[in-house]
Amino acid sequence: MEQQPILTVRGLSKSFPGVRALDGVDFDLRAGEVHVLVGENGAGKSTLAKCILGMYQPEEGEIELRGEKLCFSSPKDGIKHGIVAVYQELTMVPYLNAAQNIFLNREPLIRGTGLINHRKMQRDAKAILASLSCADIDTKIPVKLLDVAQQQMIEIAKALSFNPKIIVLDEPTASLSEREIEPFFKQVLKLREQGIGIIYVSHRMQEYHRIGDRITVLRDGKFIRTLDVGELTDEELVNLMVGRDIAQVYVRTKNEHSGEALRTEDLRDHKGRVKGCSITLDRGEIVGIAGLVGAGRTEMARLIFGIDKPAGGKVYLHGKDVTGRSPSFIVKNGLGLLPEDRKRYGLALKSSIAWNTVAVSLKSVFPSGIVSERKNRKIAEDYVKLLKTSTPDVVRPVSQLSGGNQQKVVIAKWLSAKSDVIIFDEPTRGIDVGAKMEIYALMDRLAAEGKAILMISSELQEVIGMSDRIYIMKDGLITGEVTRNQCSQEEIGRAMVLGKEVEA
Amino acid sequence: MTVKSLKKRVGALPPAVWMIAVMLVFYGLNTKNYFTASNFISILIQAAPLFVVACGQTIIVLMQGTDLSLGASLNMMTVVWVVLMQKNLPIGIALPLAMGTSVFAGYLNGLIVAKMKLPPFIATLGMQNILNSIALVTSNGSSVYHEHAIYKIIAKSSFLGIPYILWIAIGCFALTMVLLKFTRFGARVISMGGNPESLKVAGYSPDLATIQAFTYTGFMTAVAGFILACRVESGNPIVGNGFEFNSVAAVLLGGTSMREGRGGVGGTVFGVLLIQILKNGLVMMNVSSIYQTAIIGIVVLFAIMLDAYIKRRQEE
Repeated sequence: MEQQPILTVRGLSKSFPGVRALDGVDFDLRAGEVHVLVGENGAGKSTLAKCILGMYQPEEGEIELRGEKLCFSSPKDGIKHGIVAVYQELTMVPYLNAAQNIFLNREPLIRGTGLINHRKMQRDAKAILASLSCADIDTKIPVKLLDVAQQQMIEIAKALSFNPKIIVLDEPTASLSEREIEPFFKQVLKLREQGIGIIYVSHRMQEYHRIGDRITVLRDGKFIRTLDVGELTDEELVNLMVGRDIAQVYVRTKNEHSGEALRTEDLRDHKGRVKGCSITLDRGEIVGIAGLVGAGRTEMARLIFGIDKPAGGKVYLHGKDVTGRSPSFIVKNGLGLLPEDRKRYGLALKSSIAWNTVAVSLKSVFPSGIVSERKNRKIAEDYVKLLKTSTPDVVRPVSQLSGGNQQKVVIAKWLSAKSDVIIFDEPTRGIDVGAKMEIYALMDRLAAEGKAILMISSELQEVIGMSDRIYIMKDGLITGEVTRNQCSQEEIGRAMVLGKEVEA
Repeated sequence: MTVKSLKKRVGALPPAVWMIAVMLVFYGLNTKNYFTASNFISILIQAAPLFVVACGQTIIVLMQGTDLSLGASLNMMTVVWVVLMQKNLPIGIALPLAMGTSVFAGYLNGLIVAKMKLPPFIATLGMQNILNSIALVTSNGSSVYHEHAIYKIIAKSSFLGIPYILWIAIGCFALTMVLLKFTRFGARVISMGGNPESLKVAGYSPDLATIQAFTYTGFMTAVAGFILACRVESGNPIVGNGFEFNSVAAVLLGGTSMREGRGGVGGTVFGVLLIQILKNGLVMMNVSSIYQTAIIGIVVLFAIMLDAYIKRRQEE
């Protein structure tokens, strides 16, 4: 089905402080196709999508819609031209009903009054939902009372109510469960049949085959290649995305494991996100936890760290029962956590590098309770040297550092606190490839020095490349365990999605 | 309706509703002649100014803000009105002018919050001091009086057996209800509290709605000032003190949330009634007025904490 593209992007560039998010990217979209954008985290997929939507203004390059040059200053302009999005995070207002959410800010009015015509709005919303085969959604109750899949459908109905020519789907399945994904795909394919161009941002390999027509690969903000689905094997596609041989990126030195550092037994939480997880971690070992977003990995880390109280099960740190103890007690016993969202939970962004470095070790660094500026700086400088953090000084706020260097400050914080068991939750999210390799090298060195590392990651390559052992987690349960080099990426991927036992 | 959603709805019952039940039983047992029509009418009339102010405050709280200037705005409005009347201006000019000062103060609040991006708390706290100063300067620091029939007409007459003051309160309630439920303005207010991102992706800048909301709150304050001045037949530079706390408390007790765009003016009715029933009962039990504010503060904090605790338990 060769045809003129409805949307053409040429030489698009966009920078943010410290990172060139897009660098001369080309892209085109035809009517009635699902064009998948792929790439690692930080490759520029979402940035490209947001430029097309008018949320970001690119610095260079142009976007053409049916040969007409576009220059958007806000999403409003995008909407006007029939370009809409279904966002990764839902944009629902919890206490408005489905109809109010669909027609937010465009509510039909009773002529001459300025009052909303609720009856017409309900009717229109029902009609759109019916066209999505979702007529059973209650459009009169607050959407908060609906489940996530239904909210996702309302989100799509909202997009459709603009009569769009182009829909951007940004990781639309991230919040859906396995059971809900297939009906969702059917809707996407239906939209495609109607001649709508669909830009599909995703990092799930199996989704491309199911619904994609063409794939564009981005890497480090650069356009790599556009190809048809099925033109390359998954392996070749991954190589395009990563851009180098995996062996070069992930370096592991062989080292001895000595004694148990962390063990959980049948750990469960109150919300049913973690349903009984037993894992062990030895000193000198890196253990990966693979699983999809929502599998319960971060929730498990929070239970271990004492942020949430477990509903059942045990946590042992160096053989000592620390179940349900406070985070400060657990930190004192040598556990550290690099949180998934380091800007929010890992760092005091506006504070200096020096201050962040000693943030959890104040008591041991300054036993008298009086802070010595000079000593503080000296400690921070030592860690900057040790971890090769790139910064001119240690007094500037961490917010001025790049993602990779920020992560190093978080690591310095735990090293300063003498942590010997460290949980890395998505350690390289939003970090460019060069800095990633440094973080990996650092993890390897820490393990060689006898620290125990538990790594949670959605990036399979990373888990496989770095881990001595891998636990596979799905729907709150550990569904498999494999040791290094025992298992291919596809097998683990399948286990993550399907929850099948992995044949080791 | 499924059992599950029914449970959720009962859980969403504003804390004020069951607190009122507790209060009524308590006062009924501890005071004489509590359950009389005249006592309840007097509770309602006393509650009217706070209720009208709280209608505006409901909208601000829904937008994740608080307006701390409206007590001072009340002070200013009553003083300005009576002083203008003293100067022999006809009521048809003096009243709109006085109400206009409160509306304008609200508009300025909105402008500062929307354009300068100041937190509503800071902006309105600053405004509170300015307006209080204006009230004190205009009145020379004490109550101002003026003879006019309007005060008695509003404060003492009734229509269809319902006092004028209650009709005004009912009107404000209906107006606020319609704004929230049947206008785009209302939907925007709820969106700003529930998920500000939703407006951004709909291509709408929330500045206009912010200014409208604070201006409307200024108008509600002006109406409350009108009622209040008629009841005390004077302009008083401290008559509105405490209204900012009590109105926020009433809104929260009425089940409106400062975070997620939940709630509305219906719950605020109960929040205001709770505070007024509490006050009225304390008076009937001859509790000295110097203890009253402390008791109200304790009850309000207790109710809000209990509500937050119950909500947290439900979510877990």
